[in-house]
Amino acid sequence: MDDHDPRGFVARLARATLSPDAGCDPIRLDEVGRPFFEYLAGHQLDGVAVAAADSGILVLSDRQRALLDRSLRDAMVWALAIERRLLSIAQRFDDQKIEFIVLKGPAVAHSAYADPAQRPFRDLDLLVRARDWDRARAALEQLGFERERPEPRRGFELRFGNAAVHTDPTGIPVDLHHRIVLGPFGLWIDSDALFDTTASLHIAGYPLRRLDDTGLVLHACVHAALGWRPPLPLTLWDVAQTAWLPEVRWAQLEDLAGRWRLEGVLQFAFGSVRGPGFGAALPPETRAFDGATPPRRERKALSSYVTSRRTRGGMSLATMSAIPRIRDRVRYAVTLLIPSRAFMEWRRSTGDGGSYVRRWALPLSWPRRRDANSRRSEVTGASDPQTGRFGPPISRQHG
Amino acid sequence: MPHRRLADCVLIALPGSEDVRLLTGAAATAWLLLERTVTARSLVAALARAYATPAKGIRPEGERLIAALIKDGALEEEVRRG
Repeated sequence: MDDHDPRGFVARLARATLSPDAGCDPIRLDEVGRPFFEYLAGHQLDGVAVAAADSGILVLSDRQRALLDRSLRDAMVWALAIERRLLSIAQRFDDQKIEFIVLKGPAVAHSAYADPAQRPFRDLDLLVRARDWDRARAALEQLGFERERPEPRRGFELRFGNAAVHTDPTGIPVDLHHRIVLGPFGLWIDSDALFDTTASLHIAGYPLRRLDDTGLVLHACVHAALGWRPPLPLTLWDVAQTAWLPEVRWAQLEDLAGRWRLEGVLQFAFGSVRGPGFGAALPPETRAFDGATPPRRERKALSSYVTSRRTRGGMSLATMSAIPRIRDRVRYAVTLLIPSRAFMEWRRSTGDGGSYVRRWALPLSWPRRRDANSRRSEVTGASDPQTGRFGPPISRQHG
Repeated sequence: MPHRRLADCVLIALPGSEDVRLLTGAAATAWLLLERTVTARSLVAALARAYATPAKGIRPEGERLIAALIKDGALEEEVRRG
């Protein structure tokens, strides 16, 4: 391994710390400096790196250790500010009888890692029931939060979206969810059912709810596979950490994956964790997903997240096909093509494109691209055309 | 209150404030001892044991630390009589 390549280092660290039987020699980092540690901090991996150094898996010079300690300290200062904000939000939601579940960052840090200091986070993700979403947003506004992005059209987020980011004056972002993921899978997952399978989470003695261990694995896989392309290392780390939790009910996970059309998603996430880019060990029960052959519709939906279709409007197309009623499909398409002026102004202000013409150019380019794509197959993370199975192709060599 | 124990320090998110307090050295040790120690006297005794020093010598410093944590809202004082 080239020790100067942070990605190679992360894979080696993952193998050494998440695969107890790997029997690796201690990892030494010679001559790497600040940029290397900035990469780790940028990917929020400084916590697991410190833990590896404390356990002797990672051998650092005093200077390297000081850099790592400093970046973790900064990350934890922010995480604690977020947790303190969580407690004030929790108090407000509880007072107003708004049920909520703490997702991702704090939930995973306090449940799936040996020490919450190993798992930094930069925002707060809360899931509320769709019926409570407006009340929850109002409660956040009472606490000084402002919604970051206007809706493309009134009611669009609740009908087709998954969450809205609200930020308080200190810059703490709260992603208020009524679905756990955007797009077709968000529409297929029964978010209300997630409230039936929660576990307690105590932060500073305050009683909160998180997804139970099975739900944590499911959500970690969803986030890893669908959140970013390619999957971010921290999300893969979460999959590995949650998969080893003692109270994961694997039969229930298979059942939920089948009901919510997530078999390909879990297959992809587990395959990515075991694959050569990461290489961590997973419980044998995860092998049950290796043999799944998701239906074509599900495979196509997944490819809209994990292939280059993602940046070409593939998710919007996949979402449209997952919307049950024709009238709603039309409403969705029209809103995407002609969102409100406030929404477009916001897009312009973020430098993320605020032109109607540019917006319309994307679907107009689809016929040309479809023609080109028919002559070449997708590679990265795409389904195997023979089996229909998903996952980084090389991961099957280890299977 | 939310806190994190790191290799060389303890971070605590002070209530009703935007500050996160960094405790190092004996202050960090004291915070960790406070997870199970409830009286000022027993805290000073535990710190004395941890640093192998007479309790009498560190009592003023220990009391100053406790007073500072109470002032920050990181600790709640409970006065017991009798």
